[in-house]
Amino acid sequence: MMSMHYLAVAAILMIGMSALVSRRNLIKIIMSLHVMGSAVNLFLVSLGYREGSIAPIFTNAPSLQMVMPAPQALTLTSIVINIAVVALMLSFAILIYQHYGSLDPRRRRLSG
Amino acid sequence: MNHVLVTNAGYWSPLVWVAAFAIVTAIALLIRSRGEKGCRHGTEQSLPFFSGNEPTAGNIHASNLYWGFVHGLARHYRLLARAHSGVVNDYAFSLVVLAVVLMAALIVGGMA
Amino acid sequence: MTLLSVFLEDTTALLVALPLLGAFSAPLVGKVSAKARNLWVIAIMALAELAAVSLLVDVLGGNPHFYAVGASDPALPSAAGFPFRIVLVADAMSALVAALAMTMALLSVIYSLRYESGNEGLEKYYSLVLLLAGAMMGLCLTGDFFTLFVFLEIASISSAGLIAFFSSAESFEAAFKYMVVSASGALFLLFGVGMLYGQYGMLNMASIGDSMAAQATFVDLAALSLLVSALLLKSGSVPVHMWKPDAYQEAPPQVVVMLVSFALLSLYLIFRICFSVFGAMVFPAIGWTVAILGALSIFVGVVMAVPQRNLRRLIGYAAIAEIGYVMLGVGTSLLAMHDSTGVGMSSMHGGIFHMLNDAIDMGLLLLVVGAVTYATKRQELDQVSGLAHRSGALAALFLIGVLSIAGLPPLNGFASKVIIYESVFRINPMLSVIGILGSIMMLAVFVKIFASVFLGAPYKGCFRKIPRSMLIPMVVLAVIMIFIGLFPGLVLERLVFPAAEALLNQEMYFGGVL
Repeated sequence: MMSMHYLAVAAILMIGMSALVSRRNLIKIIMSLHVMGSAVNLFLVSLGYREGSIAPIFTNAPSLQMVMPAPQALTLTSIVINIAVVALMLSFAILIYQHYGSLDPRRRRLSG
Repeated sequence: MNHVLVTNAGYWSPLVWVAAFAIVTAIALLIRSRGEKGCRHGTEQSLPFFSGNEPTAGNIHASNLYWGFVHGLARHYRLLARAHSGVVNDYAFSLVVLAVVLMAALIVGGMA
Repeated sequence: MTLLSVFLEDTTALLVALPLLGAFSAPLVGKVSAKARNLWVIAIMALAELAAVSLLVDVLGGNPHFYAVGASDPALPSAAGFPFRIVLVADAMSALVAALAMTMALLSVIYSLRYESGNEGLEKYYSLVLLLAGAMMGLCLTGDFFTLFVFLEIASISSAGLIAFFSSAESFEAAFKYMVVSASGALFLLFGVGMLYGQYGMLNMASIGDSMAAQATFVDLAALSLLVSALLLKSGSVPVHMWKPDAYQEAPPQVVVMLVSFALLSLYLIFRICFSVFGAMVFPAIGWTVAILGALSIFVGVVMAVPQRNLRRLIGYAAIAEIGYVMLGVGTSLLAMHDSTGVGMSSMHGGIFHMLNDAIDMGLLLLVVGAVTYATKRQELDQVSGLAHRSGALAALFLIGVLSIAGLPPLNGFASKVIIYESVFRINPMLSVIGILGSIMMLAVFVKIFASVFLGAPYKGCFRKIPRSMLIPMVVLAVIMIFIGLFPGLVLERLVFPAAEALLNQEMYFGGVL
């Protein structure tokens, strides 16, 4: 059962990566990056998961069978960072649209 | 004491080069001092010219330099320019390729 | 306890904290007046530089610092036997890189006082610069993988903001491209970190390295390749170098100086991971890939630099080639680490020495190019010529930079390159030949700039006077270069040998943390 998580991670990662290299729209590129980020977050959470255990809060815990807390802390941090990155990239996309009148990455001025 | 740079294959002292530099500077100054005294700056005499041509005020610009080199290798440069397309999808693609190649190389080299 | 002893005891943490404090307080101080803000930023940076240098001196005295954030002992609060805390490690290598990056950041801030003075939104600019400096310090000193990821993201977000600072259409494009590649690289890195966590249940570099077996597992190798490819992207090696010319063309030149040290820092992180964490199972494949990618970077960088017409884009390509020399040197030492002739050791010395020289040489060239742009307001190579008639000092400084970066004796660039050539030649002559040819091409590329920008009939356009606050950083860098060139043995012995020793000595690295 455990490998289901990892299969899902691999599938989402592949979807994100293939969109990243093939979509010719800045917004879709940002979306694909966010999809990849979600895949990595899912990977981190599923690393710490244990079958049939409770949230890692020691006070009044019925049993000491807990999921590992460190990956969850990592995931929270990485979600926040992802949001910051996506917000920054979207604002760049807005500015690029204002200056270039297009969201196509092939309409570029820097090359060679 | 620490002037000498000891490399694995030999050694090298910058002082020799400083001495060589001083000698070359002295020779250059000697040649300069024997030059024509009647040169007037700011007149036609100080303009750059190709031998045989009329002196022109125009300069040799950067794109004139190494013209032959770039022209002779134009075919290869076109290939390189196509690789540096400036499209962001290609940038992401090169990262994916690097990760895959590196993973293959390290896993083959490390597990053996 | 006096203030001074607190400062000396906690320099490791202060080095990260001071720039962060400055970053978030600069806009507040900016409300008072622009002058107060400038003074505040300079004071913070000078204090951080003092911390970096005193840390380096202390560490070189044979006293590496291991600082557990928020506790006296890294393993607190439980007795699990492995560190829960965030650990900052300052050994001879990381302290050297931190001091280098901090010095370049300080010079770039001094330079920007007048260079940027005509622009708006400067409090944001200084915020981002200090944030980048703080994140770089974090990257140098971090002892665990997750903190590495966080600081890497802070550094890329702030440098993307700085690349877009001139607010032209092209600068937004460059910043967007940079952000896309660096965000995907950071995700690769995080994925690799997750793999290592799944394998060992820890994030601390030293404890992961300690529990690693001599024979690598599949997961170890996959994680290593993800980490290395993400960090190669940040350092801008071939084939993931394409963001570099774009970013270097559009970012303000003194910011590019900091981006160069950020790229070198990413290389340092690769070497830290390869030697200190995966050291027990180092095998030739890592060394070959790093060295071959280094040679490719040299080749592609110089070849693409020749036909460029934009001054800063050209320097971007040259920077790719310069990164290649460091990779060639240290990659060869990964190859020949257990070689009894000492080739591995000496190529590593060359690589680390070249990190130092690369930052300084590139820094000087970029600052001179920035001064040219400041004085003439042009950055296309064809538009300027004959500047030597207007400012002889600028031409002389540029010439020193050119001679050094092309590896002409008796300047510093030669000293490190000759060590790299000699040691690489004994492992693989082909790679060494590529390095030497690259060096010749590099000279050709920079002679092209020198001939077309500084030589020729006197420049007729308007030429603003270069202010003293811009000249001072350039002169400082030139003096350092000549000093290193005249006393290469001294620098090798005092700085580079201890740094290489710290990278190779795994027991010391593990022992301090565990």
